[in-house]
Amino acid sequence: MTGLEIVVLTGPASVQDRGRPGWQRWGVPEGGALDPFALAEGQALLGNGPDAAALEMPGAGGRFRARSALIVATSGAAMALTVDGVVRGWRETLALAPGAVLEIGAVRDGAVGYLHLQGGIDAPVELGARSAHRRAGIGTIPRPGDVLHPLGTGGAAGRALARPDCFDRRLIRAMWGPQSALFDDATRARFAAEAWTATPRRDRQGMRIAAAGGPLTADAGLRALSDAVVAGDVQVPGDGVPAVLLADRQPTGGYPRIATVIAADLPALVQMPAGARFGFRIVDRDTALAARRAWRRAIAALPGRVRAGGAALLHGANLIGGVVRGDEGEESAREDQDADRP
Amino acid sequence: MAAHPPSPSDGFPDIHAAGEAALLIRFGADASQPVRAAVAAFDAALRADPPPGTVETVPTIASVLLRFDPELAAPDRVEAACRDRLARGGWYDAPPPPGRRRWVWPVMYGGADGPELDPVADRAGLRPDQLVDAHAGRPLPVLMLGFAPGLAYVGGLGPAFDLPRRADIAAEVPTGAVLVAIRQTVLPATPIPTGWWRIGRAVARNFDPAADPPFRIGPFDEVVFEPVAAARAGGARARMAAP
Repeated sequence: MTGLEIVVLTGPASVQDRGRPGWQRWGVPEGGALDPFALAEGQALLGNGPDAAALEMPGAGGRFRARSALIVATSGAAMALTVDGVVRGWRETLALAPGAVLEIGAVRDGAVGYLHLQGGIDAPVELGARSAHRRAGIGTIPRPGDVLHPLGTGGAAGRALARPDCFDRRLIRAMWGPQSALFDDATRARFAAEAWTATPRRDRQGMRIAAAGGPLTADAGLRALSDAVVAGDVQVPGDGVPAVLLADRQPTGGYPRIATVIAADLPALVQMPAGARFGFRIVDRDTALAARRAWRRAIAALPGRVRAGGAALLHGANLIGGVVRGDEGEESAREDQDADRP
Repeated sequence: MAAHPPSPSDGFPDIHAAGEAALLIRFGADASQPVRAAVAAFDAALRADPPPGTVETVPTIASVLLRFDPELAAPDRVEAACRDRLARGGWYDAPPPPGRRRWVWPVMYGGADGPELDPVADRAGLRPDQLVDAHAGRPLPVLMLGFAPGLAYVGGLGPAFDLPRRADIAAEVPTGAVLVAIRQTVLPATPIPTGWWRIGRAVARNFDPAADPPFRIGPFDEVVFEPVAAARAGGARARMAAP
């Protein structure tokens, strides 16, 4: 017997990788990890390739049992974590002995956590990716009793990454889009100036955000001709409570979209717990591109930031501590955001 | 329908950034034939000779989304390449792109497969068999695929189908449902919630992830609905026909 058995799942977990671009003209959602940065953290911790798939766990995880000796890693939103009852740190690699029970509880810092296996999770590739899409019946939605098998062997325990500062980001940059002009000046001004709150109404398709000043004005007759949707589009349905469209977004949409969250800031938005307050800042394309480049560089730099910081944990320490909490984020987008905060 | 092709004086075609990694090229604000011809021709041109960094193109009713990797190609340059192509003109009266297919798509109308055939016929002042005659038997243009994998929006229906979406949303309709509203037919290939009217069920499904290719009806294809009795549905097959 090999692999990691799923004993209990307490959240809507699914297998996700980088997603399947290229099929949108056939009506297929791109899918993929809600937080691509967190996916990359797991690849860096285990030395996995960029195509490796992980178990995405929004809100809560579950109980897992190792059927063989395994190296696993966690990333994204920190969740309560124990191995055989001993508290362990997040964003680390862990060695599981055969029979070891891994318990992943509720999210404590962020919204979406990830569990990675050495080499990635062995799941069928459909339309070029292992990402699952629940409604479309594509890919793997694991259930209790299923066994997750690693595609690789070996690996090292005790490697760790620092908590990325995107969890603290509360100014989200967005660009006006092709349909922004459907909204009047006052509504666009409100969108840019409002105090927004992340709501619990969210899934892999999108997350609703609420304005302190109440719903945006949404003319019931305001329906654009359906066209293609991109990740981060902020759709304003009839009730005026916008939805930011995420990985499993519909490929086309008829509700007007007021703006588009830039790629570099989408993970920060996705990781906001319900109740988190934030603002939007409208930026131009050059600013969005600079932020994207910095974000891609930060992802590329992750393998070099992996530290052997978790070793002490094997002997009972609970927190990563200062060993790996250096200033890892000098290229993060936070600085320039704060500089521009109104 | 526009009396003349959209022109620069209408503001079309126009190009907009859709985030930092995509451009939306719009050819009009309706589903008229010149607009659809332009979308099909421009999409085909981009696919035949993709600008640097192209990830994919997504044609819809009146626009084409061009997704690209801005680390491989500067957006300004991709946008300039699109403007150069648009400036060559001729898009609105372009012939259909090569490779367009015509599908014969057998449908079991009415009964348990199409519980709303009778009310839709009533609204149109037709008998159910007359409504079927108005829906089947002639080539109809695919406007786009969207919403869910393999789901085709098919246009070209007459006034009998000029009905609004229903006020209530059916929680889920089965795969293969044939749905109508606003002079269009929608063919879901996966179970979806819908506010459209269900008049029948197709014997074929336009999405099978295990098949190669996984889809049959594509953007810009044509569909001919073929009535088939439920008892004979087992022998009916979706197939390509000569245009």
